[in-house]
Parts: sequence; structure tokens; C-alpha cells
Amino acid sequence: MDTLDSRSLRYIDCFAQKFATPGHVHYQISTLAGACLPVEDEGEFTIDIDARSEKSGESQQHNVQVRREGNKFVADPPHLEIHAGDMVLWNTPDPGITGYVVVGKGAGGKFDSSALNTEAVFTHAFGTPGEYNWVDANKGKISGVIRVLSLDPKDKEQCQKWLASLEQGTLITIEGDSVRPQMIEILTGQTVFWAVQKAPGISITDSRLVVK
Amino acid sequence: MPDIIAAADETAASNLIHAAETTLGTLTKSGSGSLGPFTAAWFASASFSGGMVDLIAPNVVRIANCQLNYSLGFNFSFDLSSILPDFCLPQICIPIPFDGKLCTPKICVNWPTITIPVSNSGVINFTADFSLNVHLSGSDWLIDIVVVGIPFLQIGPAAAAILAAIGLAASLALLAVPFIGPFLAAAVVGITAAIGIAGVTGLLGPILTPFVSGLTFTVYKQPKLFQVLPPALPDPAVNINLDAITAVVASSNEDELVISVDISA
Repeated sequence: MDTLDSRSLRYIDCFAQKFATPGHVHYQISTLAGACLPVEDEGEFTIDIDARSEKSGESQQHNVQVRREGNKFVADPPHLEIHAGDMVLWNTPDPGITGYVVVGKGAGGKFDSSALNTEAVFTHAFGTPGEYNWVDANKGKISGVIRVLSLDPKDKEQCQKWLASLEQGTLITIEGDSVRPQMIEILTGQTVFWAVQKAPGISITDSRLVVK
Repeated sequence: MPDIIAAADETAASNLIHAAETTLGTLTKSGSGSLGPFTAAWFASASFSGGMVDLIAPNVVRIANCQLNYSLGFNFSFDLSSILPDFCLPQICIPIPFDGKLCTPKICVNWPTITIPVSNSGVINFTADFSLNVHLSGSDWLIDIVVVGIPFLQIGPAAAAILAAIGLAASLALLAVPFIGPFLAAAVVGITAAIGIAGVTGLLGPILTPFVSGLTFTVYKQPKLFQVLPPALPDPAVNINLDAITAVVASSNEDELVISVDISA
């Protein structure tokens, strides 16, 4: 089965955060255990956010790759210059990384991939069929179900349909205690996007991973 | 002239052999060997049962259709990237409520190395010639029959069964591999094709042959010195010493295993 847990990002996951307030943001990348440590005032990784002007055009997306160097996680690039309203997306191409967390603070407040709050997105590609009951491991009330269907591996027509389906993501929107839709069905390999408009620091976690 | 002569016909000799098979019990071995292009760590156990005895003068005990009951377990590791294509999830863009759209990067799947556990048990019938070996072992006389040469084991059917078991075990192991999706069936075929019947035979031969090479059944065991109690007192107990034992296959009206014993008190 997949490991579905926004508190511990892997190579099949992405975390994205919208930065709406101009200013300076610094952040760190650590494991879930390190996420409780305070964010250093002068962190290694920074984002400078300019006020958006007419020249800035539409909001943009900036991608940051997470890698491991020795015992440390590093961000590539380590510094970004963006406009207010832009999104930054973190992902690792390294399947050997077993889990990381992005935690930062700045003019717009704190952001934390292990506790999603405002205008944040978590994505997960489901590689294994099954039924996934997800909950908020940070003790919120939200929950949902993802049914991941298998396909007949011998049928070439299904194979083509499957390849085409991989290009289609499914969106789940979370605002407060509202989750829409609460139950979805997808095919193996498809990606689900959880867009958190406003929430009190939630996680998207397979219920089997939550210690009761 | 021996003091005691005992004879067993082929039916009686078969009973002796079957008792000896039970006494021999289950033999075990472990090791590692080649499974096609892979290395497999294995554990095997074997026992013997059945068989019809054919006594052939002067010194051959032939056991026909003796059953080698084997149980085999092994593990081998398989790097899936050697048979599966490089595969990446495409970039996916969808509109999100608080921004225009969000796009994931292309994510390339990492095919893992999987360990496939296989277990199989079965029966192989074989026919082998044994020679008689009478010897003193410590304080006991033993009559053993010892296999002559290396019996031929027809392992083709067992190899086919094990290859099928590998395919089944591979299917189960692959089901847990993320994103295997439509590659599953091809991966199973790729694994079994890489091993092939020749690969299984190459593993099975060196595992099973040592169980029958040098195979020895003890069909008779008797202390050299033992005490015979009198039928009634006041006669004392008598210590009997088996000075010599010989065993041959004799052919008269019917073939018999003849045991001759010289004793002294």
C-alpha cells in the first residue's frame, strides 16, 4: 500500500504554498521529528516576495527540488524571488528520501507542510490499488475516502486509457471542516490534489498511520 | 556352519526398508545456488517412503519407486528496473480555488528490487540399487544397505511445478509494487522467462541429489553383546556375544536376504 501522509513528504508527493504578502520568508526542511523545532530567524532557504504590480502579470508557480546532501536536506534553488500571489511547490526527485517536512515563517505568517493552514496544496500519486480512508492526524474533524481502482494489466486498450488518465488530476477542496468531494474513485497511478483554502493546521494522513 | 541363519523374502525385506525409511526421518540441508541469472538462498528437507524391494543375487537390493518427499523454500531478489521500462508520471496541471492552476512536476517512478519467497513441496520417484554393508559400529552390529552410484532423479516435473510457483509468488510480490499497474503481467513473464526450466533444474539438481547420493538405510541393528534371561530360575542369565554377522542375497526357490550369525556365550 501507499504511504499517504502529508506530514512526511516523499517523491510521489508535492507541497505547494501561496505567498500573498510581500516580505521575506525563510524556511527549513527537516524530517517530521524536526518540524517541532523553531524556525531559525536566518534560515538556510529564503524567499523574497515583491509586491505585485501590473508588470508582474499573472501569478506564477516556482518549483523547488528537495535533495539530501549528507545528513541534511537542501533546497534547489535555495533562494527564490517571487511576486505576491505566486505559488511555490516543493518536491523531491529522490525516491530514497523517506520523508521530509517544509516549515517556514515570514511576513504572511507561518507555513508548514505537516500542518496545512492557508492556501496550501498537498498532492499524492496513488501507486497501489485499495481504499484509503484519510483523516487529519493533527486531531481535526475532517476526513475522506479515496478508492484507487486496479486495471486489467493484460488489456492493451485499458493500458492506453490508463496512460491517458495519468494526465488527469482530481481536486479535493478543504475549507474549515468542509471537504469536497469527500469520496472519490481514481485509477492506480492517478494524482489527487488537496487544496486547503483555510484550515487550522491539518494533515492528510492514511487513518492506519494515525496512532490512537 | 553359522549358529543362526535368518532369511527375509522380498516382502519382508520391503517391510524392513520401510521401517528403515521411517527411522531415517527427515533430512535437512540449506545453502545458496544459482537460479538462472539470480542467486537464491534455499532451505530443503527430504524424507523417503515406499518402494518395492527386488533382491538380486549375490549382493544387490534394488528399491523400485522409492519416494523422495521434498520440501523446498528459497528467496531470490529481483531488480525490477532490469525488466521494466523507465516510467514517469506526466506533469499534471489543474485549476485550484486560490490560484490559476497548479502543476506537479514529472515524477519518475523508481522500480525497486523485490525479494520473492518461493516454497514448494512434492514427490520424486526413483529406483536405485543398494549394496549390503555389514559392520560393527561401536557396540552394535549394523546391516546397512548403501546406494550404489548416484540415482537418477526425474526432476523435470518438479522443476515445472517450481517455475509455476515462482510465477505465483512473483505475482503476489509485484502486486505490492507501486505503479506496477499494466506492467504486472509482463513483469511476471519477464521473471519466469529469465529463470526458465533450465534455471530451476540447475538449482534443484544440486539441492536434491545430495539427499540420495550416499543414501544409507539401516535395516538391522543389534548390540554385539546382550543378555538372554532364562525361562525359569534358578538358571542364570546368559551373555550372548555376536562374533560375526554376514548378509547376502541368496537365490534358491525365491530371492531372499540371508543373515548368518556366529555367536558365543
